[in-house]
Amino acid sequence: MKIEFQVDAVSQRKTFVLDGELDVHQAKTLKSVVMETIEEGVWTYVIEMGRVDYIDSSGLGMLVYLKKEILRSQGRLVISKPTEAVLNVFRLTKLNEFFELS
Amino acid sequence: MTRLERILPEVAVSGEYDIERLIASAPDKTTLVDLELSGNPRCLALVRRLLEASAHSMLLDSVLLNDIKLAVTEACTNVIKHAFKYDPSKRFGLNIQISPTLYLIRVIYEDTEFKPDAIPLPDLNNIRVGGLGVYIIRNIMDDVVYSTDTPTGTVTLRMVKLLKPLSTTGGPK
Repeated sequence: MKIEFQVDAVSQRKTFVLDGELDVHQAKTLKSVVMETIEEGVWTYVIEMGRVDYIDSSGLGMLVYLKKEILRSQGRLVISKPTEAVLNVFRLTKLNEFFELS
Repeated sequence: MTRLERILPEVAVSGEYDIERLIASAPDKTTLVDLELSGNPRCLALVRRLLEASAHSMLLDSVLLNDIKLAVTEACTNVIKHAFKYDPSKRFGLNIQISPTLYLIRVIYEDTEFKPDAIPLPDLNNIRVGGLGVYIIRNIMDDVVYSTDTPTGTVTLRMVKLLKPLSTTGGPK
């Protein structure tokens, strides 16, 4: 999985654009990339999933973990542009109600 | 009417169906794949490519394909994570039988501590980081059975996805 990272200091927004599949193997990569960027303050962390055509429970678990870590640092996590395949798994596990989607 | 009853009218009558009989009913059209996989999670992406190729040959729609990919990956991930603790030297079996009526998947591995009845249901109103894998499998597959051979510690997970009724031209409707 490829992850592009962009920071907009003016709007205090950090965006991670994912491309590929988010499974048990790739979830660890996502964790290390996002965790390195988390800092105290009212930052918005956007995980863009428009090019993620597969996610499983390990990927979901990692997103839940990251949201909790971001909240602990006073930040906010937004899942952006989820594909239909990702949305289906969110709905199945009710995570569409847990995450802020855009 | 449930999805099972729509696909297999006999289920609506008797409340049950016989998977082995369904496979035996079209032996010449059944594809059998036997794989030995390691405890390295990198192999899971390769398994998904194989499932995509099989779905392409069966003209499965993307929703059915995603369900099958998800269930197989969840099952294999559970083996690698919980039974093997990511030990790449360990091996487990993945057996797939594809017939015009169903997709039958068996995951076979050794785990002397596994107790299927002890798998808790996740609390979807209080989401935790883990514990969703078996819940997902049970919700997207039509039939899920864990069996354990206690003397050897061999666990077999059997999952079935029933396919759409066949049209007169032989392909799914």
